[in-house]
Amino acid sequence: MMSDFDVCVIGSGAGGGPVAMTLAEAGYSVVVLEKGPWFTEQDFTKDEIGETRRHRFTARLHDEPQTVELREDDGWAAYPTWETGWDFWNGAMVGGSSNLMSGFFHRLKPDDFRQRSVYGPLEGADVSDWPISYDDLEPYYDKVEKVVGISGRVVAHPQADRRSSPDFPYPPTGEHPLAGWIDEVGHAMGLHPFPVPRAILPYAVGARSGCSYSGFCGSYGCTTGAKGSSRAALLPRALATGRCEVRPHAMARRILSDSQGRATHVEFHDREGQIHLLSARIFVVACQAIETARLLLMSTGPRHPTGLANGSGLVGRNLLFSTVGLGDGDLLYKNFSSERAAALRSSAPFINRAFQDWYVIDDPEHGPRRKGGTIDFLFLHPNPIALARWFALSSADRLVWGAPLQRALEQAFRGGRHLLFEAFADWQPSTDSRMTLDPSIKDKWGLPVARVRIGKHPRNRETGDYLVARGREILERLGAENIGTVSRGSPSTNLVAGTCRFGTDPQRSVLDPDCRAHEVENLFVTDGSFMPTGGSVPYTWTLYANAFRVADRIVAQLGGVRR
Amino acid sequence: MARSMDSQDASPGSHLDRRTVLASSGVGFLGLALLSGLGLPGCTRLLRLEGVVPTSPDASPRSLTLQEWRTLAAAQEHFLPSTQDAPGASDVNGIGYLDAALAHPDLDPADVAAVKNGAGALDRVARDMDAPDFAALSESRREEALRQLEQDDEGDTWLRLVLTFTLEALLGDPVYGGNPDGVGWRWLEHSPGFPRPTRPYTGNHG
Repeated sequence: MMSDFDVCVIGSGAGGGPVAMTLAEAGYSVVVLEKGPWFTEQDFTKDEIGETRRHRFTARLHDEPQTVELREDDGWAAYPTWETGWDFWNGAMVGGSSNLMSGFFHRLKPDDFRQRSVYGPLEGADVSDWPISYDDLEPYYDKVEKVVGISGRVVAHPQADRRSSPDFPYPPTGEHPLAGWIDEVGHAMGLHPFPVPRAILPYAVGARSGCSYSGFCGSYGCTTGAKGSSRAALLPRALATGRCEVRPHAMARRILSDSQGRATHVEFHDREGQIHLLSARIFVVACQAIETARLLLMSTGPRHPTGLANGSGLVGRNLLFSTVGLGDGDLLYKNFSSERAAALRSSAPFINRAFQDWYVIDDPEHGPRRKGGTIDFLFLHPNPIALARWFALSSADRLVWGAPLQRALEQAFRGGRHLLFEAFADWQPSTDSRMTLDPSIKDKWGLPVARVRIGKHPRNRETGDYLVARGREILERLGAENIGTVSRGSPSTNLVAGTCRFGTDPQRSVLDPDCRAHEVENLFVTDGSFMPTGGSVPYTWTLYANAFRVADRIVAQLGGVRR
Repeated sequence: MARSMDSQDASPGSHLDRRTVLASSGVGFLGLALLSGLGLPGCTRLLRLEGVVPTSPDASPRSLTLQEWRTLAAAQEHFLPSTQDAPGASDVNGIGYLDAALAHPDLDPADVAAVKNGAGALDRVARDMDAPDFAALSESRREEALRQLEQDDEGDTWLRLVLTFTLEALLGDPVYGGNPDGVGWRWLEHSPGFPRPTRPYTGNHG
């Protein structure tokens, strides 16, 4: 029986876009089901209220809750996300959360693919090596630079990546003078600052315009097309073949499987709640790690009683985030010469400097040699309501209002610049870090919601603490005042991975090295769910690269490129 | 000084209506110019609006009773007072913005209820202080009443919600009814990101 399509891709973000593009260009028919709406550049503005303080891009928590399990003294307690004030919805729309990312792109390094072999096991964590190496993924990291559009400048430093292309295809976007100051201070400290690659075009390429330097990248859709979202960079190529259909407002509820255990159909509903079925030869799931696992767990079948591809019981386990560590300080105009203060006042938004001097922590005072992480410097996001709220609501002492609030805001906005650093460290995989289907809470369509257990390993926070202390030293040398750091080992809600890790052993992994489900030959997962370890950089470049790699495997499985 | 505003959002007590009130009270064009910060070098001199602040809207509010309106407007003015140096809640249509915002379909209904109920709770605190309601209290007694509310979880939640909405009125895009002509941005020398919205997001998901 003929399938409706050769390939059905569920999720149109960084995991789905590469597959849609590759398969359509290889001559196969593709349908992409996207839960959210289809926005274009014309729909995006820098509207802080509409785009970041309401639910234009994310789910309303009473309609689509998740539950969070936190460890308390006597066990685990579950809270619906409408009570917690935080959640894991990162953007439901064509292109997914890749529309809203800031686009700081880093590769993983060779030892990140073999953390268990290199650093050994870690008590209380379930660290495993990847079944592929950096060399397997490198050609795809390179491809993403060209196809998604990564701008940057290669600089030699001790942790620099081995690259097949000598430099990036696009030069870096213009930088604020602080980038140079960070270089000076970093070198004086014996460190190795380097420019951060960005998924941002510095000039027009094809139908995409170059960056307009508005400085509001994170949390906002990009109006010019410069940001390398799956929507702006990849789906247009898929659509141009005439063989790809993108269906917004199409939420997958279940993948159906037959008595042989093969995936046959996806059941999805449209915006009116009408249920539809479509069939495909190959199914690719890329809904971000929590929702991907949720879909598989809901997709029971005759050969999959506990969820599609879940014979190992590992779907939903090994949930990964990134460890959050932050630091910030004020560079007050009054503390600098008039020349330097004038330089600080530049409206150029990009600093783009990072340090990986502590990518490996080899410091006898801190125990055995261990994996460390990355520190990225950037301006505090310019959203004014968010900054004002911080002054009003964040004091440990009491709420701030009236004249004291007004003076604090004047100082904050008019007195200088706010420099931030983000420290990325591995979230250690553990059996306690997982998602399941909530036994009682359902979303507005009657489907069980994701229940997310936040299992933190103590190593997360230790590494975070080490990195933020290093970042603080740099802020001090830059002349920052009011330096604060946060390191709680808390999860990042926007960087989510794990849940369907890949490996060679079907007892210890959900997916094989090609990200094909061990138990379902025609099912692939191409978002971050495949990662056994997360690494200490944002995931997106790795995710894009792996999705392209898996897309090539799917083409091969279907019989190769056809005309 | 015409400013486009989606007719859906020309709610009672909106910026547009308040300007009408000001004009009819004789403040005149210069007053309005100062209010919106137009044409003033340095642009931090604002007309003090003591006594001109309306204590009730011209037409029925969307989300609030008249008493809630009165109490919340007084609380907002306490959070952001109008002074020579800074625009206050009344300068940025804080209460009109709040009243319209509470009708947004994306808000958690529990938060909307909390804002309304908390206004009543604040009035009860005022009555315990022998005043008819919160707005009737002097500035120092208003401070006392609000700090008292801060002592428990419900009161603390209410304060955070109302502060948040007040700051949205101060610094959000004018298409939402606050921050008229960017007076809040100009006070803080903030350059908004571009492009700016031409209409508010009112809850239609694409």
